[in-house]
Amino acid sequence: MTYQLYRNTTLGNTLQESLDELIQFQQISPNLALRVLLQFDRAINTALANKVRTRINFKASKLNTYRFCDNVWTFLMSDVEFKEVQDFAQVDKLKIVACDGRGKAADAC
Amino acid sequence: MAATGDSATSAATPHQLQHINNLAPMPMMGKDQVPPLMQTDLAPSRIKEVLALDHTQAIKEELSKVEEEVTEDVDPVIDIMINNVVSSFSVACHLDLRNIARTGNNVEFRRENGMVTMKIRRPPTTASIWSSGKITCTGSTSEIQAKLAARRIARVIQKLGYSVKFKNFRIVNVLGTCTMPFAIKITPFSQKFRNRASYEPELHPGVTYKIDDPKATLKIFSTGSITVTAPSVNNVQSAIEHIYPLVSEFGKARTEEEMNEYLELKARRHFSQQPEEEDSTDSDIPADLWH
Repeated sequence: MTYQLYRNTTLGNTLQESLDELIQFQQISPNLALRVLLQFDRAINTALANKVRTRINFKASKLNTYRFCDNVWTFLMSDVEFKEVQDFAQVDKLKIVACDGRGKAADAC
Repeated sequence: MAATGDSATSAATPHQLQHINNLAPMPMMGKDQVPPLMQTDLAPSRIKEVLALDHTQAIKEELSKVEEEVTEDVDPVIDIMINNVVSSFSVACHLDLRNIARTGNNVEFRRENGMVTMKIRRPPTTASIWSSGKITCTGSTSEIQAKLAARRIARVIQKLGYSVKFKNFRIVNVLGTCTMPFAIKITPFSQKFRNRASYEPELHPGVTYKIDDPKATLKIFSTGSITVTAPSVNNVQSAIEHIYPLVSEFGKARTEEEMNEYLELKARRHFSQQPEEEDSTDSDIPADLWH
């Protein structure tokens, strides 16, 4: 079982919308849509683990709360600055959900 | 080193005392700086205790310090830092640790330990929460603060939806440290108090000295630092008062360099004791962000 948390990204959401639409027009069965989503989970997990080399630094002025439960870290921070070489972005509030990348994957997130 | 340096009781002489009292107007300190948490004046008739939160008391303390400087002065004032107060209490109901870990803030739940650790910012305290409803709090620096912290923890758990009581609160352990204005020859010291002191340099660099009544355990180091663990703050203080005449007998003067280090350390401690600000809300995070 792989992490399903990436379904809630832009990419995952769009995929789910498209699949919903296809189901509505009865072009695919819900079963097939589920299989597509599972394949998506597997693909994006391996891709992020193996193919992505980009790094980005960020610095938060305050860590509001943190939580560690079921091998998942959750952080809530405020006034965060993201810095890449030239790019610069600032957000007021940021939530980070971090799962264990290697080792046994927790079954659901 | 100074002329007084060679005798064992040198530390109690007015000469060195002046060093200690001269600390108050150190250039790095503001005039309104709060004095240390607690001091013990080694003449037993003049015992006093200062809590950092109490400003008027703090001013009185400053005054009495100045007075002492002016009037007779035989015994030096030694600062006792209370570093940690451990307390325990019970909320008298069973707790669903997983639920607390999923919905609480600033919590960690490591299943292998079987407990949730929760931290609060003011006062900076860590609580270990067991599913039986027993909770221990560590990290406070006074007994009052420990109780406040314990009540805040209980309140947090109550807000998570448990029928919480506040039962069996007690201070379990207090850790205090102080530094003597002289170094200590610990080997002869441990030989003189063979029955109460144990010195195993291969295991631990300090002498462990046990006092039965009031109960306290002291670790005495050759540098002149002493750490005390006891079941209450008063025990810590009386332990220091008990041990001071015993170790001063084995005191040896520091080199000038060490003395400077000591004074610097003391000054830094005075400086770091900023008045504590009470208290705004701990966090103001909209609940919807969490779910």
